[in-house]
Amino acid sequence: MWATRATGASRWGRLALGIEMLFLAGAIAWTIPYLIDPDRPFEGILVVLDVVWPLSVAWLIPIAIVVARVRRWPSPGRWAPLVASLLIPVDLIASQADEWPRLIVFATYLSLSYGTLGVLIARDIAPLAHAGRGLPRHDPVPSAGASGVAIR
Amino acid sequence: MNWSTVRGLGTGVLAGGCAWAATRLFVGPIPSDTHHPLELWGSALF
Repeated sequence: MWATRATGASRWGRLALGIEMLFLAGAIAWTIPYLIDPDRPFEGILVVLDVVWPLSVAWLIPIAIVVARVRRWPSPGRWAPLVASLLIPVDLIASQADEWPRLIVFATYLSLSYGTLGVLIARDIAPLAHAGRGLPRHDPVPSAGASGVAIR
Repeated sequence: MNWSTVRGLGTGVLAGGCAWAATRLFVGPIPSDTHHPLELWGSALF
């Protein structure tokens, strides 16, 4: 998103991504101690970092709305972050069901939404980074082949 | 950031999402406030 200015070139657009990077850094910092010791006591800085994990996911929702509105990413790619960002709301709805159905819904939504997002980034978004810093708003978006050369 | 790097990141999003989903299913339901090592590695990959 940063490379293609997916949230726009404004100060707000960059600030939104900067905040997400901070949240993600905190979430990663939370994960590392538990990778080393899963039974580590839940105390100290880990309590603070534990809050950052859901914040990093929740903050994706307004970012994804901005990405869809700014239209620097071609469709359907510009909608994929919004679909993926709804993972936690979907999980909250699924939590009304039993454990296994909830888990299956979570895993299915996670793999499909982020899998699709990944494919679209690799196929449609990467050429934008190659071409420069993204396309101006409302510009027609060329499709690109594997070489990154636009095909009309 | 060049084209191949962004393409690699996209592939990473795909692989990470599938890896976390696979580990969650493999581990199965776990009590809240507990952590399973494999599931933690899955989320870390993601």
